[in-house]
Amino acid sequence: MPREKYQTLTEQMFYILLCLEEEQCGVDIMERVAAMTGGRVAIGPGTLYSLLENFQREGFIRETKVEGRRRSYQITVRGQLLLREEARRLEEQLSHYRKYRKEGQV
Amino acid sequence: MIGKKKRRLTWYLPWDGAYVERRLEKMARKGWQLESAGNPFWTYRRAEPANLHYAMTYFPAASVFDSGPTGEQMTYADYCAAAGWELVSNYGPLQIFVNDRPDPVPIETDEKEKLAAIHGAMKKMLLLPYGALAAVWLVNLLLRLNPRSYYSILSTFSSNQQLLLLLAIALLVLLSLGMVGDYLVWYLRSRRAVERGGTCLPSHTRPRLIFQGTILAVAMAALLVPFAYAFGGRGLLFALAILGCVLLLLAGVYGLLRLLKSMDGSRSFNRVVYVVGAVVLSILYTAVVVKGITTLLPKSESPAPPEVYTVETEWGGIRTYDIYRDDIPLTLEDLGYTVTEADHCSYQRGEQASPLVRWVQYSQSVHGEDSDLPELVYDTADIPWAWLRELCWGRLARYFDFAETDPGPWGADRAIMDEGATGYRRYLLLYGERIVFLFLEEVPTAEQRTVIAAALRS
Repeated sequence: MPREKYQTLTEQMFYILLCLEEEQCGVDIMERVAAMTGGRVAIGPGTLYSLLENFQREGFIRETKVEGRRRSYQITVRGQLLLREEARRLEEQLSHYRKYRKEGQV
Repeated sequence: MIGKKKRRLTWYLPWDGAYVERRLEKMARKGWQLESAGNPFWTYRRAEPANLHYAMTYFPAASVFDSGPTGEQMTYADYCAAAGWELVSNYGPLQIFVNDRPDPVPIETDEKEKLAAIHGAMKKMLLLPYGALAAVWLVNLLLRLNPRSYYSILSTFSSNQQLLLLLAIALLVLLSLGMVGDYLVWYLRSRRAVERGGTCLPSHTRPRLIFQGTILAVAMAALLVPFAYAFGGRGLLFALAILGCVLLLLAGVYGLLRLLKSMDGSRSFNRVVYVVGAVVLSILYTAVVVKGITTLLPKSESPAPPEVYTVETEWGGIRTYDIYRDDIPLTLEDLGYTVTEADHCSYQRGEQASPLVRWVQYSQSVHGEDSDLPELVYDTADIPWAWLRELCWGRLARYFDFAETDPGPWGADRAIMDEGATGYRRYLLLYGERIVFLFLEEVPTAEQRTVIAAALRS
């Protein structure tokens, strides 16, 4: 079970984990997320560093490669469960929106 | 102009990075770019005026005792470099980055993570050192307000110098606790705001810095004024010399830290050597200042006694007694004793006064070899402030084994007495705003009590 802190992921957490479905060097994640979201979501380097540390500590990602100071990470099964849970929550939210939104509303 | 450098005193609240960032950006627009931060004086170098963005960030795992940025810090700096942020300087958990891009992505884009980093750093940089400092000053203050000896309570409150010292210590407690409290209030309010989806709150740093500076200046003045006063005409020079010594000590301690860092030692080695070095430097500093004070302080000379009584001892030596003829309100003669020249009595009076307490000590000492007169010693303390009078009364009563007695025969508002194991009597009497402490060798008669009351009540 994810800890309470991660019951709802922020957008930045969500995209970092999503990014790490493929092995990725930490420093490249910022650019990747910006590309994935068309620049809508920007992750600051300090925030990225803290979140990667926290995710690794919680076992949501693991370090796969260290080349000098370049470290690569990949999502773990535990992280995938967390990400799937979040996606389900978002889908449910969207379905509620579609179901209860009044016709003709902007 | 290029190549010039300047140092600026940089005072800031360590948790308010935005204040520092605005200041650095303003300096950059004026053509001064930060080169290094750390000690209170930050170094700037001359450059073309530029619209730069600065960011002060926090890396809680780092320490001021690290010889250089740790591997983790370098990784952090790599992430920042990828976003266009270059590390300019770091000091312990504080890191300052610069970015010349027009609209850069901020280093921290998650307020919760940002607040956690600030709090982690503040535990090290602020809560621990300022909390310890406040505790040390507070213990010092309490010990001074709760003295162990009978005279201390009156000598403290009747001395302007001691009162200024108390004020200075109280202000330093206020300053240290204020810093801790101010941060905690900011942190708790920011945490609440962030939990509701908001951002860390602004700190209104400028008025706080002005307040801190004022408190510090008043505390320093309160510490130095008594010394300056004691040194008469050279007082100001002496106060500046003391201040110079303090700055020298701080420079020495900071220099030691820089030296250790340049030697590339481990964090724990640097910490141990630094602490030991700082203690040694502080002891040396104290020794130099105390030696300087005792050597240069003009000797306070008691007024020469009008008469000296010399006696040859049975072992062939010479013993001398100073005989004073001060005017004192109550004498053995007033109490009905017959005093002759052969008793060689000395009448002495000493006064010390502050706006809080006027304390006068009187004595009639008997030096005649064959005299069988008792000694007469008494003090009066005029204390207009009821709370302080009550405090002094309580403290004085506690130092001896005093027991409540009937104040009627003394014509006093309150009276307590200590029979004393050796037959001496000590009396503590309250007459309106005046506390009288009386030391007698014999139990006073009713008549003598009336005389004492008439002489000492006002």
